[in-house]
Amino acid sequence: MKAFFIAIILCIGLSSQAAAQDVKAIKLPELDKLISESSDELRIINFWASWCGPCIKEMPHFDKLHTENKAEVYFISLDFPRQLEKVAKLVAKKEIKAPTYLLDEKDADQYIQKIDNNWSGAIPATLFITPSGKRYFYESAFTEEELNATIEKLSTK
Amino acid sequence: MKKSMLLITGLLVTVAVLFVNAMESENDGLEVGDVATGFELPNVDGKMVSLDSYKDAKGFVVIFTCNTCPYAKLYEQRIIELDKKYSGKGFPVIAINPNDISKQPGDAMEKMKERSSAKGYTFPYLRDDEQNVARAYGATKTPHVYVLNKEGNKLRVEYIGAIDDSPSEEADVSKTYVEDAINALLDGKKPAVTSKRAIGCTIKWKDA
Repeated sequence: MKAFFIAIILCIGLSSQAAAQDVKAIKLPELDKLISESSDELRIINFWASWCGPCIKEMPHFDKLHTENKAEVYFISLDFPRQLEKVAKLVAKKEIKAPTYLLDEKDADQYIQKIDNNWSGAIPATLFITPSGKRYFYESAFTEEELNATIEKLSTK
Repeated sequence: MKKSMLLITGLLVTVAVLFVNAMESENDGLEVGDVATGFELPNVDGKMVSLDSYKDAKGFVVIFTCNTCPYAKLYEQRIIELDKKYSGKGFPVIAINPNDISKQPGDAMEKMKERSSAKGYTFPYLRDDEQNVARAYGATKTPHVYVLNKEGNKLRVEYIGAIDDSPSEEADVSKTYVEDAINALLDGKKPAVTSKRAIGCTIKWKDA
Protein backbone atom coordinates (compact mmCIF):
# COMPACT_ATOMS: atom_id res chain seq x y z
CA MET A 1 0.00 0.00 0.00
CA LYS A 2 2.75 2.41 1.02
CA ALA A 3 4.67 1.61 -2.15
CA PHE A 4 1.54 2.36 -4.15
CA PHE A 5 1.22 5.85 -2.65
CA ILE A 6 4.88 6.53 -3.20
CA ALA A 7 4.44 5.49 -6.82
CA ILE A 8 1.48 7.85 -7.23
CA ILE A 9 3.36 10.72 -5.61
CA LEU A 10 6.32 10.03 -7.88
CA CYS A 11 4.04 10.02 -10.93
CA ILE A 12 2.45 13.32 -9.95
CA GLY A 13 5.87 14.77 -9.31
CA LEU A 14 7.17 13.61 -12.68
CA SER A 15 4.12 14.74 -14.64
CA SER A 16 4.14 18.23 -13.14
CA GLN A 17 7.81 18.42 -13.98
CA ALA A 18 7.08 17.42 -17.57
CA ALA A 19 4.35 20.07 -17.80
CA ALA A 20 6.72 22.89 -16.87
CA GLN A 21 7.95 24.52 -20.02
CA ASP A 22 11.50 24.98 -21.08
CA VAL A 23 12.45 28.66 -21.37
CA LYS A 24 14.68 29.26 -24.37
CA ALA A 25 16.94 32.23 -25.04
CA ILE A 26 16.26 33.89 -28.39
CA LYS A 27 17.83 36.67 -30.43
CA LEU A 28 16.14 39.70 -31.97
CA PRO A 29 15.53 38.10 -35.41
CA GLU A 30 13.59 35.28 -33.74
CA LEU A 31 11.54 37.82 -31.79
CA ASP A 32 10.99 39.76 -35.01
CA LYS A 33 9.63 36.60 -36.56
CA LEU A 34 7.23 36.11 -33.64
CA ILE A 35 6.01 39.67 -34.10
CA SER A 36 5.72 39.70 -37.87
CA GLU A 37 4.26 36.24 -38.57
CA SER A 38 0.69 36.39 -39.81
CA SER A 39 -2.02 34.88 -37.65
CA ASP A 40 -5.82 34.58 -37.55
CA GLU A 41 -5.72 35.30 -33.86
CA LEU A 42 -4.91 38.34 -31.78
CA ARG A 43 -1.24 38.00 -30.83
CA ILE A 44 0.02 39.37 -27.51
CA ILE A 45 3.68 39.78 -26.71
CA ASN A 46 4.31 40.68 -23.09
CA PHE A 47 7.69 42.04 -21.99
CA TRP A 48 8.62 41.27 -18.41
CA ALA A 49 11.45 40.33 -16.07
CA SER A 50 11.79 38.16 -12.98
CA TRP A 51 12.75 41.23 -10.92
CA CYS A 52 9.69 43.26 -12.01
CA GLY A 53 6.86 43.01 -9.46
CA PRO A 54 4.06 44.55 -11.56
CA CYS A 55 5.06 42.24 -14.45
CA ILE A 56 4.69 39.08 -12.39
CA LYS A 57 1.40 40.32 -10.99
CA GLU A 58 -0.17 40.72 -14.44
CA MET A 59 1.22 37.51 -16.01
CA PRO A 60 -1.63 35.22 -14.90
CA HIS A 61 -4.17 37.45 -16.72
CA PHE A 62 -2.26 37.05 -19.96
CA ASP A 63 -1.67 33.35 -19.38
CA LYS A 64 -5.41 32.85 -18.90
CA LEU A 65 -6.04 34.28 -22.38
CA HIS A 66 -3.62 31.64 -23.67
CA THR A 67 -5.16 28.69 -21.82
CA GLU A 68 -8.68 29.80 -22.81
CA ASN A 69 -7.57 30.14 -26.45
CA LYS A 70 -8.59 33.79 -26.58
CA ALA A 71 -5.26 35.00 -27.89
CA GLU A 72 -1.85 33.83 -29.00
CA VAL A 73 0.29 34.86 -26.02
CA TYR A 74 4.08 35.02 -25.72
CA PHE A 75 6.09 36.10 -22.71
CA ILE A 76 9.45 37.70 -23.45
CA SER A 77 11.75 37.93 -20.45
CA LEU A 78 14.20 40.83 -20.48
CA ASP A 79 16.27 39.33 -17.69
CA PHE A 80 20.01 39.04 -18.15
CA PRO A 81 20.93 35.81 -20.00
CA ARG A 82 22.81 34.45 -16.99
CA GLN A 83 19.48 34.40 -15.17
CA LEU A 84 17.82 31.97 -17.58
CA GLU A 85 17.56 29.28 -14.92
CA LYS A 86 15.95 31.68 -12.44
CA VAL A 87 13.43 32.70 -15.11
CA ALA A 88 12.62 29.06 -15.91
CA LYS A 89 12.10 28.29 -12.22
CA LEU A 90 9.75 31.23 -11.81
CA VAL A 91 7.76 30.26 -14.90
CA ALA A 92 7.40 26.74 -13.49
CA LYS A 93 6.42 28.00 -10.05
CA LYS A 94 3.81 30.37 -11.50
CA GLU A 95 2.61 27.55 -13.79
CA ILE A 96 2.85 29.78 -16.83
CA LYS A 97 1.63 27.86 -19.87
CA ALA A 98 2.08 30.40 -22.67
CA PRO A 99 5.41 30.08 -24.51
CA THR A 100 8.14 32.02 -22.72
CA TYR A 101 11.47 33.17 -24.10
CA LEU A 102 14.38 35.19 -22.80
CA LEU A 103 15.59 37.90 -25.17
CA ASP A 104 19.37 37.56 -25.26
CA GLU A 105 20.38 40.94 -26.70
CA LYS A 106 22.73 43.43 -25.10
CA ASP A 107 21.78 46.54 -27.07
CA ALA A 108 18.49 47.49 -25.39
CA ASP A 109 18.23 50.75 -27.35
CA GLN A 110 18.21 48.80 -30.60
CA TYR A 111 15.53 46.26 -29.69
CA ILE A 112 13.38 48.79 -27.82
CA GLN A 113 13.17 50.94 -30.95
CA LYS A 114 12.45 47.94 -33.12
CA ILE A 115 9.63 46.65 -30.91
CA ASP A 116 7.97 50.06 -30.64
CA ASN A 117 9.37 53.50 -31.26
CA ASN A 118 7.24 55.02 -28.49
CA TRP A 119 8.54 52.62 -25.87
CA SER A 120 10.84 54.33 -23.36
CA GLY A 121 12.04 50.99 -22.00
CA ALA A 122 9.88 50.77 -18.87
CA ILE A 123 8.38 47.38 -18.09
CA PRO A 124 5.83 45.88 -17.95
CA ALA A 125 5.07 46.58 -21.60
CA THR A 126 2.84 44.71 -24.02
CA LEU A 127 2.49 44.59 -27.78
CA PHE A 128 -0.87 43.54 -29.25
CA ILE A 129 -1.03 42.58 -32.92
CA THR A 130 -4.44 42.17 -34.53
CA PRO A 131 -5.04 39.52 -37.23
CA SER A 132 -5.00 42.36 -39.77
CA GLY A 133 -1.45 43.17 -38.65
CA LYS A 134 -2.15 46.38 -36.72
CA ARG A 135 0.12 46.95 -33.74
CA TYR A 136 -0.93 48.46 -30.41
CA PHE A 137 1.72 49.06 -27.79
CA TYR A 138 1.09 49.69 -24.09
CA GLU A 139 3.87 50.76 -21.73
CA SER A 140 1.86 49.98 -18.61
CA ALA A 141 0.58 47.19 -16.36
CA PHE A 142 -2.86 45.63 -16.81
CA THR A 143 -5.44 44.50 -14.30
CA GLU A 144 -7.56 41.57 -15.50
CA GLU A 145 -10.45 43.98 -16.19
CA GLU A 146 -8.26 46.38 -18.15
CA LEU A 147 -6.82 43.53 -20.18
CA ASN A 148 -10.24 42.12 -21.03
CA ALA A 149 -11.50 45.58 -22.00
CA THR A 150 -8.47 46.05 -24.24
CA ILE A 151 -9.00 42.65 -25.90
CA GLU A 152 -12.65 43.56 -26.46
CA LYS A 153 -11.68 46.88 -28.02
CA LEU A 154 -9.02 45.35 -30.26
CA SER A 155 -11.33 42.58 -31.46
CA THR A 156 -13.28 45.18 -33.42
CA LYS A 157 -10.18 46.60 -35.13
CA MET B 1 -18.79 91.78 -42.02
CA LYS B 2 -18.52 88.30 -43.49
CA LYS B 3 -14.78 88.80 -43.92
CA SER B 4 -14.23 89.82 -40.31
CA MET B 5 -16.25 86.80 -39.12
CA LEU B 6 -14.03 84.56 -41.20
CA LEU B 7 -10.96 86.23 -39.77
CA ILE B 8 -12.18 85.77 -36.21
CA THR B 9 -13.05 82.12 -36.84
CA GLY B 10 -9.62 81.60 -38.36
CA LEU B 11 -7.97 83.19 -35.36
CA LEU B 12 -9.98 81.07 -32.94
CA VAL B 13 -9.02 77.90 -34.79
CA THR B 14 -5.36 78.91 -34.72
CA VAL B 15 -5.51 79.60 -30.98
CA ALA B 16 -7.25 76.25 -30.39
CA VAL B 17 -4.62 74.37 -32.41
CA LEU B 18 -1.80 76.13 -30.57
CA PHE B 19 -3.46 75.32 -27.26
CA VAL B 20 -3.88 71.64 -28.10
CA ASN B 21 -0.26 71.45 -29.31
CA ALA B 22 0.94 73.08 -26.11
CA MET B 23 -1.02 70.52 -24.08
CA GLU B 24 0.36 67.65 -26.10
CA SER B 25 3.94 68.73 -25.71
CA GLU B 26 3.34 69.13 -21.99
CA ASN B 27 2.10 65.55 -21.77
CA ASP B 28 5.01 64.24 -23.75
CA GLY B 29 7.52 65.84 -21.41
CA LEU B 30 10.94 67.13 -22.41
CA GLU B 31 12.83 66.31 -25.55
CA VAL B 32 16.47 66.92 -26.40
CA GLY B 33 16.81 70.59 -27.33
CA ASP B 34 13.96 71.71 -25.05
CA VAL B 35 14.41 74.14 -22.18
CA ALA B 36 13.96 72.33 -18.86
CA THR B 37 12.04 73.85 -16.00
CA GLY B 38 13.65 74.24 -12.61
CA PHE B 39 12.11 72.78 -9.47
CA GLU B 40 12.28 72.82 -5.72
CA LEU B 41 11.92 69.53 -3.85
CA PRO B 42 12.66 68.22 -0.34
CA ASN B 43 16.01 66.50 0.15
CA VAL B 44 16.95 63.65 2.48
CA ASP B 45 18.70 66.18 4.76
CA GLY B 46 15.37 67.90 5.47
CA LYS B 47 16.19 70.96 3.35
CA MET B 48 14.62 72.08 0.09
CA VAL B 49 16.82 71.87 -3.01
CA SER B 50 16.41 74.09 -6.04
CA LEU B 51 18.50 74.07 -9.22
CA ASP B 52 18.57 77.88 -9.02
CA SER B 53 20.76 77.71 -5.91
CA TYR B 54 23.62 76.07 -7.85
CA LYS B 55 25.15 79.32 -9.06
CA ASP B 56 28.45 77.77 -10.15
CA ALA B 57 27.01 74.74 -11.93
CA LYS B 58 27.52 74.49 -15.68
CA GLY B 59 24.65 72.04 -15.87
CA PHE B 60 23.03 69.09 -14.13
CA VAL B 61 22.68 65.35 -14.33
CA VAL B 62 19.06 64.92 -13.25
CA ILE B 63 18.36 61.24 -12.54
CA PHE B 64 14.94 59.86 -11.74
CA THR B 65 15.74 56.85 -9.60
CA CYS B 66 14.53 55.01 -6.51
CA ASN B 67 15.39 52.62 -3.69
CA THR B 68 13.42 49.67 -4.96
CA CYS B 69 13.96 49.11 -8.69
CA PRO B 70 16.58 46.40 -9.36
CA TYR B 71 17.88 48.40 -12.34
CA ALA B 72 18.23 51.50 -10.16
CA LYS B 73 20.15 49.41 -7.62
CA LEU B 74 22.45 48.09 -10.35
CA TYR B 75 23.26 51.68 -11.27
CA GLU B 76 23.48 53.10 -7.75
CA GLN B 77 27.27 52.89 -7.42
CA ARG B 78 27.72 54.22 -10.96
CA ILE B 79 25.51 57.22 -10.10
CA ILE B 80 27.69 57.92 -7.05
CA GLU B 81 30.80 57.71 -9.27
CA LEU B 82 29.23 60.06 -11.81
CA ASP B 83 28.65 62.69 -9.14
CA LYS B 84 32.17 62.27 -7.73
CA LYS B 85 33.66 62.64 -11.20
CA TYR B 86 31.55 65.51 -12.52
CA SER B 87 30.17 67.65 -9.66
CA GLY B 88 33.60 69.27 -9.30
CA LYS B 89 33.61 69.95 -13.03
CA GLY B 90 30.25 71.72 -12.82
CA PHE B 91 27.79 68.91 -13.53
CA PRO B 92 26.40 67.68 -10.19
CA VAL B 93 23.98 64.75 -9.97
CA ILE B 94 20.49 65.57 -8.72
CA ALA B 95 18.60 62.35 -7.92
CA ILE B 96 14.81 62.43 -7.74
CA ASN B 97 12.58 59.64 -6.42
CA PRO B 98 9.10 60.01 -7.96
CA ASN B 99 7.49 56.69 -6.92
CA ASP B 100 4.12 56.76 -5.16
CA ILE B 101 4.83 55.49 -1.65
CA SER B 102 1.41 53.88 -1.21
CA LYS B 103 2.37 51.58 -4.09
CA GLN B 104 6.04 51.36 -3.16
CA PRO B 105 6.51 51.94 0.59
CA GLY B 106 10.23 51.23 0.21
CA ASP B 107 10.57 54.61 -1.52
CA ALA B 108 9.32 56.74 1.40
CA MET B 109 11.50 59.65 2.56
CA GLU B 110 12.59 57.73 5.69
CA LYS B 111 13.82 54.83 3.52
CA MET B 112 15.52 57.26 1.16
CA LYS B 113 17.36 58.80 4.12
CA GLU B 114 18.53 55.35 5.24
CA ARG B 115 19.73 54.41 1.78
CA SER B 116 21.51 57.66 1.01
CA SER B 117 23.40 57.64 4.31
CA ALA B 118 24.20 53.91 4.17
CA LYS B 119 25.60 54.22 0.64
CA GLY B 120 27.16 57.63 1.20
CA TYR B 121 25.34 59.57 -1.49
CA THR B 122 27.35 62.68 -2.35
CA PHE B 123 24.37 64.30 -4.12
CA PRO B 124 20.85 65.41 -3.19
CA TYR B 125 18.22 62.67 -3.20
CA LEU B 126 14.87 64.42 -3.54
CA ARG B 127 11.28 63.26 -3.13
CA ASP B 128 8.82 64.21 -5.85
CA ASP B 129 5.68 63.39 -3.87
CA GLU B 130 3.34 65.22 -6.22
CA GLN B 131 5.13 63.64 -9.21
CA ASN B 132 4.97 67.02 -10.94
CA VAL B 133 8.68 67.09 -11.82
CA ALA B 134 8.61 63.54 -13.22
CA ARG B 135 5.58 64.49 -15.33
CA ALA B 136 7.05 67.80 -16.50
CA TYR B 137 10.25 66.01 -17.56
CA GLY B 138 8.37 63.10 -19.12
CA ALA B 139 10.21 60.52 -17.02
CA THR B 140 8.68 57.06 -17.36
CA LYS B 141 11.05 54.79 -15.49
CA THR B 142 13.88 54.45 -13.02
CA PRO B 143 16.67 55.11 -13.71
CA HIS B 144 15.96 57.81 -16.32
CA VAL B 145 18.65 60.44 -16.92
CA TYR B 146 18.40 64.04 -18.21
CA VAL B 147 21.66 65.89 -18.86
CA LEU B 148 20.98 69.64 -18.71
CA ASN B 149 23.35 72.37 -19.87
CA LYS B 150 23.17 75.96 -18.60
CA GLU B 151 22.75 78.59 -21.30
CA GLY B 152 22.57 81.91 -19.48
CA ASN B 153 19.63 81.42 -17.16
CA LYS B 154 18.13 78.63 -19.24
CA LEU B 155 18.66 74.88 -18.87
CA ARG B 156 18.87 73.11 -22.20
CA VAL B 157 18.20 69.35 -22.39
CA GLU B 158 21.19 67.79 -24.16
CA TYR B 159 20.82 64.07 -23.45
CA ILE B 160 17.99 61.78 -22.29
CA GLY B 161 18.08 58.10 -21.43
CA ALA B 162 20.48 55.43 -20.23
CA ILE B 163 23.66 55.90 -18.19
CA ASP B 164 25.65 53.38 -20.23
CA ASP B 165 25.18 50.27 -22.35
CA SER B 166 25.58 47.56 -19.72
CA PRO B 167 23.13 47.58 -16.81
CA SER B 168 24.08 44.06 -15.74
CA GLU B 169 27.86 44.27 -15.48
CA GLU B 170 29.77 47.49 -15.06
CA ALA B 171 32.84 45.62 -16.35
CA ASP B 172 31.12 45.09 -19.71
CA VAL B 173 30.34 48.76 -20.32
CA SER B 174 31.61 49.80 -23.74
CA LYS B 175 29.66 53.03 -24.16
CA THR B 176 29.36 55.60 -21.37
CA TYR B 177 26.53 57.68 -22.80
CA VAL B 178 26.09 60.14 -19.92
CA GLU B 179 29.83 60.69 -19.41
CA ASP B 180 30.31 61.19 -23.15
CA ALA B 181 27.51 63.77 -23.20
CA ILE B 182 28.96 65.70 -20.26
CA ASN B 183 32.50 65.54 -21.67
CA ALA B 184 31.25 66.99 -24.96
CA LEU B 185 29.45 69.82 -23.14
CA LEU B 186 32.58 70.55 -21.07
CA ASP B 187 34.46 70.85 -24.39
CA GLY B 188 31.84 73.32 -25.58
CA LYS B 189 30.42 70.78 -28.05
CA LYS B 190 27.04 69.17 -28.53
CA PRO B 191 26.88 65.51 -27.46
CA ALA B 192 27.22 63.11 -30.42
CA VAL B 193 24.63 60.74 -28.93
CA THR B 194 21.63 62.57 -27.50
CA SER B 195 19.35 59.70 -26.57
CA LYS B 196 19.72 56.01 -25.73
CA ARG B 197 16.99 53.90 -24.26
CA ALA B 198 17.35 51.21 -21.62
CA ILE B 199 15.07 48.88 -19.73
CA GLY B 200 13.86 50.16 -16.38
CA CYS B 201 11.05 49.98 -13.84
CA THR B 202 7.88 51.89 -14.62
CA ILE B 203 7.47 54.88 -12.29
CA LYS B 204 4.77 53.99 -9.76
CA TRP B 205 2.23 56.70 -10.53
CA LYS B 206 -0.48 57.79 -8.11
CA ASP B 207 -3.94 56.62 -9.10
CA ALA B 208 -5.70 59.40 -10.98
